Amino acid sequence: MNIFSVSEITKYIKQLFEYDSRVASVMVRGEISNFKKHYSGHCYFTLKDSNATIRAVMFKSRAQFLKFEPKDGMKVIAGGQITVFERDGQYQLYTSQLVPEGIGELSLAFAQLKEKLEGEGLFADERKQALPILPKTVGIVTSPTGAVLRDIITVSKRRHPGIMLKLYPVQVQGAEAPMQIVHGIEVFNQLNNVDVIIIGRGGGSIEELWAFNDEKVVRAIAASQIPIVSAVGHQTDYTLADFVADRRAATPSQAAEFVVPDVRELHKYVTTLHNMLEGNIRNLVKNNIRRLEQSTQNRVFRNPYEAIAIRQQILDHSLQRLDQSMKKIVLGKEHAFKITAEKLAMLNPLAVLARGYSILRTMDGKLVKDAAALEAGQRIEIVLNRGMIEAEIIHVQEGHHGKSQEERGSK
Amino acid sequence: MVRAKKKEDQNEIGFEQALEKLEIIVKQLEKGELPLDQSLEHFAEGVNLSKICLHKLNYAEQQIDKILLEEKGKVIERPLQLQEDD
Repeated sequence: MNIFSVSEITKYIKQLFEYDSRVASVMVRGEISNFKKHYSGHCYFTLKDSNATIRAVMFKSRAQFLKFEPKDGMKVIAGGQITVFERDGQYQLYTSQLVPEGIGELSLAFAQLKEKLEGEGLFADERKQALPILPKTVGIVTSPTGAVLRDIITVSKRRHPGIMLKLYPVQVQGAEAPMQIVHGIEVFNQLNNVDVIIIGRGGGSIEELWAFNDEKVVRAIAASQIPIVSAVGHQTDYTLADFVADRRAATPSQAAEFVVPDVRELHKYVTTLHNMLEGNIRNLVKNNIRRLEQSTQNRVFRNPYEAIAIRQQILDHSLQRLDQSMKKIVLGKEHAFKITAEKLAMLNPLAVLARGYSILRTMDGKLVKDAAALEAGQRIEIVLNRGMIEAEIIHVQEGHHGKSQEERGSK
Repeated sequence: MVRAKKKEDQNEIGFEQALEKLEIIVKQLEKGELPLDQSLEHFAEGVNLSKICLHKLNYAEQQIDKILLEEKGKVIERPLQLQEDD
């Protein structure tokens, strides 16, 4: 016979637990006792009934999501895995879900399924389809009898009398309900004869609403190519159908409001758009006309000759200035010429002759300014104002201005 | 012929699509940045779209609601009559 160490045999026992699928995932009904919430957030307790107890632990990672405070004496259903805690040699229930028994197994199943489907991303906003603004035909999956259908018809026809409704009649509770609902969704998708689907039922207990928590129903809603509005008339609590639907309505009437537009409002809106369109184009044309008028009303267009006249005027003005400038220049020149001419006249030796002076020249034409240049007996020419004299010098007396050198020196 | 085809196309367009286009055109014209020719074209299209929208909204014609029934694996439609019992 083999001899095991304590560790070895404990490990072996632990494996036995782990290979057994029944204890690997189990739900246990019992009463809580010795409940202790450790400062770490982990919860330790014992589940018991009249004949037995089982130790249980719920780690903080799970316990933090509990929506109630577990207390000693409380009847609960705990879901999780039973395995061996090797150090103490004890098996215990590692609890992942804990619900008060009053709410029951359904709640636990709901929580588990919700978690699973959420994990698959079935409730993600990205999956949600937009509802059409103006559906031609609305598919309805609900009971053919009762208030839900009547409410949907009443509200739909009030908002849009021309809307076409197609009912796929189903049972909304009972064993047959989930398959019928699934089939209704599938039929509409196959026929593709509606633009949007409302699935719903009136309010009820969690058991009555249960078909709308059915996994197949939830998956059928998720798979639908046609947008679906859930109207599981239950204000406070959500069904999984509500989570997965493209839109959730609190009541069937509200679902109809979501799905069916108020056609008069829409009519009004389109008319408003139409009017805006007309207003805009009118403004645009008006603006263009104004711009055009601003151009055509411009002086350039009103009197095309004006521009020419203005230029003519400028030209005239320039010509006038040119004329004046020219005159001024000529006058200036004339004046300068007169002065020069007068100066010239004054310098004219002939003018001096007129005043009685005469010019003395040697015969070869040199001007005589000094008597010293002459000698007695030399022939000279004398130029008078009128006529010329040829003469012979008799005597020469040197001096200044007709005076002798002696006379000058004596002064 | 061409005209008839065009009319067909107009009926093809969905209300949402027509409304969206109409809204875009109104916005464009509101900005007033388009050339006049283009603006007039847009305007004509917009008026047409608004007519399509209004036509599709025409709630005068009453529809008869249907109930889908399955007989021998085939889905058939019958006029829907409210059953008043619950």
